[in-house]
Amino acid sequence: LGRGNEHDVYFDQASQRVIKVTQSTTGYGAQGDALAYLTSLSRCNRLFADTIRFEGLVRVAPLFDALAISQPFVQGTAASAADIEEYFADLGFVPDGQHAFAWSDPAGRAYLVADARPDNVIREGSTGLICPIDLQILVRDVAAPI
Amino acid sequence: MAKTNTDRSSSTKAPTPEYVAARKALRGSSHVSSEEAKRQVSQIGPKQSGTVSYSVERRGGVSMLKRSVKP
Repeated sequence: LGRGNEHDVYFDQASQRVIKVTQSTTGYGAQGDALAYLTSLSRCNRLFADTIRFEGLVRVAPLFDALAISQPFVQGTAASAADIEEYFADLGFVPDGQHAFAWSDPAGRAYLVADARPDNVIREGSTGLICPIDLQILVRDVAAPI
Repeated sequence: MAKTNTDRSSSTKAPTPEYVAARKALRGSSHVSSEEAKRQVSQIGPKQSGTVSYSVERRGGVSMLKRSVKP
Protein backbone atom coordinates (compact mmCIF):
# COMPACT_ATOMS: atom_id res chain seq x y z
CA LEU A 1 0.00 0.00 0.00
CA GLY A 2 2.94 2.31 0.44
CA ARG A 3 5.48 3.61 2.83
CA GLY A 4 4.58 5.58 5.94
CA ASN A 5 6.75 7.26 8.49
CA GLU A 6 7.44 4.13 10.48
CA HIS A 7 6.49 1.20 8.30
CA ASP A 8 6.40 -0.35 4.88
CA VAL A 9 2.73 -1.17 4.49
CA TYR A 10 1.13 -4.06 2.59
CA PHE A 11 -2.38 -5.38 2.22
CA ASP A 12 -3.29 -9.04 2.59
CA GLN A 13 -6.46 -9.45 0.59
CA ALA A 14 -7.20 -12.92 1.97
CA SER A 15 -7.27 -11.82 5.60
CA GLN A 16 -8.33 -8.22 4.86
CA ARG A 17 -5.54 -7.12 7.14
CA VAL A 18 -2.84 -4.51 6.66
CA ILE A 19 0.68 -5.80 7.20
CA LYS A 20 3.18 -3.32 8.55
CA VAL A 21 6.92 -3.90 8.70
CA THR A 22 9.08 -1.46 10.61
CA GLN A 23 11.40 0.44 8.30
CA SER A 24 14.44 1.22 10.33
CA THR A 25 17.43 -1.08 10.57
CA THR A 26 18.43 0.42 13.90
CA GLY A 27 15.20 0.63 15.88
CA TYR A 28 11.46 0.04 15.98
CA GLY A 29 8.92 2.70 15.18
CA ALA A 30 8.73 6.21 16.47
CA GLN A 31 9.64 5.31 20.02
CA GLY A 32 12.78 3.41 19.12
CA ASP A 33 12.95 0.24 21.12
CA ALA A 34 11.00 -2.93 20.52
CA LEU A 35 9.32 -3.06 23.91
CA ALA A 36 8.05 0.52 23.68
CA TYR A 37 6.82 -0.16 20.15
CA LEU A 38 4.90 -3.30 21.08
CA THR A 39 3.60 -1.79 24.31
CA SER A 40 2.19 1.17 22.39
CA LEU A 41 0.37 -1.22 20.04
CA SER A 42 -0.99 -3.21 22.96
CA ARG A 43 -2.37 -0.01 24.42
CA CYS A 44 -3.99 0.82 21.08
CA ASN A 45 -5.83 -2.49 21.32
CA ARG A 46 -6.94 -1.90 24.89
CA LEU A 47 -7.78 1.80 24.76
CA PHE A 48 -9.28 1.98 21.26
CA ALA A 49 -10.53 -1.56 20.59
CA ASP A 50 -8.14 -2.21 17.72
CA THR A 51 -6.93 -5.77 17.08
CA ILE A 52 -3.31 -5.30 16.14
CA ARG A 53 -1.32 -8.54 16.07
CA PHE A 54 2.37 -9.25 16.24
CA GLU A 55 3.13 -11.44 13.24
CA GLY A 56 6.85 -12.02 13.41
CA LEU A 57 10.31 -10.87 12.50
CA VAL A 58 11.74 -10.00 9.10
CA ARG A 59 15.49 -10.09 8.56
CA VAL A 60 16.31 -6.74 6.97
CA ALA A 61 20.00 -6.48 7.74
CA PRO A 62 22.67 -9.02 8.63
CA LEU A 63 22.26 -8.41 12.34
CA PHE A 64 18.83 -6.81 12.51
CA ASP A 65 15.26 -8.04 12.30
CA ALA A 66 12.34 -5.72 11.63
CA LEU A 67 9.03 -6.30 13.40
CA ALA A 68 5.96 -7.28 11.38
CA ILE A 69 2.49 -6.57 12.69
CA SER A 70 -0.97 -6.65 11.20
CA GLN A 71 -4.27 -4.91 11.83
CA PRO A 72 -7.69 -5.04 10.17
CA PHE A 73 -8.12 -2.85 7.11
CA VAL A 74 -10.73 -0.17 7.77
CA GLN A 75 -12.55 1.19 4.74
CA GLY A 76 -13.43 4.84 4.79
CA THR A 77 -12.10 8.35 4.69
CA ALA A 78 -9.94 10.49 6.92
CA ALA A 79 -11.86 11.65 9.98
CA SER A 80 -12.39 15.35 10.42
CA ALA A 81 -10.86 17.35 13.25
CA ALA A 82 -14.33 17.56 14.80
CA ASP A 83 -14.73 13.78 14.57
CA ILE A 84 -11.42 13.27 16.35
CA GLU A 85 -12.19 15.83 19.02
CA GLU A 86 -15.56 14.25 19.77
CA TYR A 87 -14.08 10.75 19.81
CA PHE A 88 -11.39 11.56 22.36
CA ALA A 89 -13.68 13.73 24.47
CA ASP A 90 -16.15 10.84 24.71
CA LEU A 91 -13.36 8.68 26.11
CA GLY A 92 -12.46 11.29 28.68
CA PHE A 93 -9.31 12.59 27.01
CA VAL A 94 -8.44 16.27 26.91
CA PRO A 95 -6.21 18.14 24.43
CA ASP A 96 -2.61 17.87 25.55
CA GLY A 97 -2.04 21.57 25.08
CA GLN A 98 1.66 21.21 24.32
CA HIS A 99 1.60 19.04 21.22
CA ALA A 100 -0.57 19.19 18.13
CA PHE A 101 -2.80 16.14 17.57
CA ALA A 102 -2.09 14.89 21.10
CA TRP A 103 -4.49 13.97 23.89
CA SER A 104 -4.00 13.26 27.57
CA ASP A 105 -6.05 11.74 30.31
CA PRO A 106 -7.41 14.64 32.34
CA ALA A 107 -6.07 14.22 35.85
CA GLY A 108 -3.76 11.26 36.17
CA ARG A 109 -1.88 12.21 33.02
CA ALA A 110 -0.87 8.60 32.65
CA TYR A 111 -1.05 8.59 28.88
CA LEU A 112 -0.12 10.90 26.08
CA VAL A 113 -1.80 9.84 22.85
CA ALA A 114 0.10 11.39 19.98
CA ASP A 115 -0.26 11.56 16.22
CA ALA A 116 -4.07 11.69 16.27
CA ARG A 117 -4.08 13.40 12.88
CA PRO A 118 -6.95 12.99 10.40
CA ASP A 119 -4.92 10.58 8.26
CA ASN A 120 -4.38 8.35 11.29
CA VAL A 121 -8.07 8.20 12.21
CA ILE A 122 -10.57 6.70 9.78
CA ARG A 123 -14.30 7.40 9.55
CA GLU A 124 -15.51 3.98 8.46
CA GLY A 125 -17.51 4.17 5.26
CA SER A 126 -20.65 2.16 5.99
CA THR A 127 -21.14 2.82 9.71
CA GLY A 128 -19.45 6.17 10.34
CA LEU A 129 -17.53 4.54 13.19
CA ILE A 130 -14.42 6.51 14.14
CA CYS A 131 -11.42 4.17 14.08
CA PRO A 132 -7.96 5.27 15.15
CA ILE A 133 -5.46 3.18 13.20
CA ASP A 134 -2.00 4.55 13.78
CA LEU A 135 -1.51 6.34 17.08
CA GLN A 136 1.46 6.67 19.37
CA ILE A 137 0.70 6.07 23.03
CA LEU A 138 3.30 7.26 25.48
CA VAL A 139 3.15 6.60 29.16
CA ARG A 140 3.71 9.40 31.61
CA ASP A 141 3.06 7.41 34.76
CA VAL A 142 5.34 4.41 34.95
CA ALA A 143 2.64 2.51 36.87
CA ALA A 144 0.07 2.92 34.11
CA PRO A 145 -1.27 -0.46 32.96
CA ILE A 146 -0.01 -1.85 29.69
CA MET B 1 0.18 8.22 42.96
CA ALA B 2 -0.62 5.85 40.14
CA LYS B 3 -4.13 5.86 38.78
CA THR B 4 -5.91 2.58 38.50
CA ASN B 5 -8.55 1.22 36.24
CA THR B 6 -11.11 1.69 39.00
CA ASP B 7 -10.36 5.39 39.39
CA ARG B 8 -13.03 6.48 36.95
CA SER B 9 -13.34 9.98 38.35
CA SER B 10 -9.97 11.02 37.02
CA SER B 11 -9.01 8.53 34.33
CA THR B 12 -10.10 7.93 30.80
CA LYS B 13 -12.91 5.57 29.92
CA ALA B 14 -12.69 2.26 28.17
CA PRO B 15 -14.50 2.10 24.84
CA THR B 16 -18.15 1.24 25.33
CA PRO B 17 -19.22 -2.36 24.69
CA GLU B 18 -21.26 -1.02 21.78
CA TYR B 19 -18.18 0.56 20.20
CA VAL B 20 -16.08 -2.56 20.73
CA ALA B 21 -18.81 -4.70 19.17
CA ALA B 22 -19.22 -2.31 16.24
CA ARG B 23 -15.49 -2.25 15.57
CA LYS B 24 -15.32 -6.02 15.84
CA ALA B 25 -18.23 -6.32 13.44
CA LEU B 26 -16.31 -4.35 10.81
CA ARG B 27 -13.95 -7.27 10.45
CA GLY B 28 -15.31 -9.57 7.82
CA SER B 29 -18.24 -7.30 7.00
CA SER B 30 -16.81 -6.45 3.60
CA HIS B 31 -14.18 -7.63 1.20
CA VAL B 32 -12.03 -5.16 -0.65
CA SER B 33 -9.55 -5.92 -3.38
CA SER B 34 -5.92 -4.91 -3.15
CA GLU B 35 -6.57 -2.26 -5.81
CA GLU B 36 -9.47 -0.79 -3.87
CA ALA B 37 -7.49 -0.80 -0.63
CA LYS B 38 -4.67 1.03 -2.37
CA ARG B 39 -7.08 3.56 -3.86
CA GLN B 40 -8.61 4.33 -0.48
CA VAL B 41 -5.25 4.66 1.21
CA SER B 42 -4.01 6.97 -1.55
CA GLN B 43 -7.01 9.23 -0.98
CA ILE B 44 -6.23 9.53 2.70
CA GLY B 45 -2.49 10.04 2.23
CA PRO B 46 0.13 11.15 1.60
CA LYS B 47 0.63 11.08 5.32
CA GLN B 48 3.52 13.46 5.44
CA SER B 49 5.79 15.19 3.02
CA GLY B 50 9.43 15.31 3.88
CA THR B 51 11.47 13.26 6.30
CA VAL B 52 9.94 12.70 9.69
CA SER B 53 12.00 11.95 12.72
CA TYR B 54 11.00 11.35 16.30
CA SER B 55 12.80 11.46 19.55
CA VAL B 56 11.61 10.55 23.01
CA GLU B 57 12.77 12.32 26.11
CA ARG B 58 12.20 10.76 29.48
CA ARG B 59 12.32 12.98 32.53
CA GLY B 60 11.38 11.60 35.91
CA GLY B 61 9.24 8.85 34.45
CA VAL B 62 7.58 11.20 31.98
CA SER B 63 7.96 10.45 28.28
CA MET B 64 7.58 13.19 25.72
CA LEU B 65 7.50 12.60 22.00
CA LYS B 66 9.20 15.16 19.80
CA ARG B 67 8.38 15.07 16.14
CA SER B 68 10.27 16.99 13.50
CA VAL B 69 9.84 17.18 9.75
CA LYS B 70 12.54 18.14 7.30
CA PRO B 71 11.16 19.13 3.88
